Amino acid sequence: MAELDPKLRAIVAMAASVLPREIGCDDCFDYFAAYAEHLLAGGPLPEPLQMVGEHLERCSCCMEELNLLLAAMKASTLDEAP
Amino acid sequence: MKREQNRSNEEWVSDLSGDGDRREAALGDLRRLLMNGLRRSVGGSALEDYVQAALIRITGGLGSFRGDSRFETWALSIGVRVAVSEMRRARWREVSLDEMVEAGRLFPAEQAVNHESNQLMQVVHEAIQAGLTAKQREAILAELGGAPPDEVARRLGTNRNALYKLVYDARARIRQAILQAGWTEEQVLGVLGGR
Repeated sequence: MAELDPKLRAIVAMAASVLPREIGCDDCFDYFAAYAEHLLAGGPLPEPLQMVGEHLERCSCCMEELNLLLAAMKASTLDEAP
Repeated sequence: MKREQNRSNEEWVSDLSGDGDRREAALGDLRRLLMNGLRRSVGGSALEDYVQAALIRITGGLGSFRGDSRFETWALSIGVRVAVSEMRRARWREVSLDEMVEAGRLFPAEQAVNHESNQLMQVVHEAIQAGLTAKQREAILAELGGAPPDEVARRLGTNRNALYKLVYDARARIRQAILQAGWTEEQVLGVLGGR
């Protein structure tokens, strides 16, 4: 079967992924640091942080920033090593 | 001098809020933390400028630190946002909103690859043209074309948070149009899965 046009796929995916309640970028950023620490520590996320995860799946800017924050955290951890 | 890894959150806030040597020492540690973290993540030739801008943002926003993470992580999150926002601004400086929207424009329905996607393309195309406001249309097409939301927001005279809500409403309207056209959620997921 031929591939679906990538833009059509993307916009249908954007529409299909709508949740009844989503937080915006500001609310996401309020919990950004706590989310990153939970992610590195592992384990289940408390409810407010689950909504951060849902936002990140739908916001390319916030997701890019999370990945860079995780890299920055790892870099600063390395710097603290003796 | 106390190094950053030895400060508690409360000590960070207290030292940066004070004056004299303690504040200078804390600022020096914070600057080093940001430089190290951002150099190995964001990079870029304007690193010093990003760090300076981040220091101003952090010290001016100490009251908004809630303490639900380490102070260092909170500071790095601000540093990353400041740096990446500036980098996006520089990278997209020459690109107009019209060009962003054009990059996201969908092919006409007759160019779709098969009957099923042709039908879906028609529904989506109509939803975008008739079901969205001009601002929603510009926002969702610009994002579809790969433009970063904060740069789309800047050109639309709004901010990233408001743009997210604008696009959320647009996504919901397109979803509603697809369902009203007789597609079930299962069928839509099937199309997305390539079945």
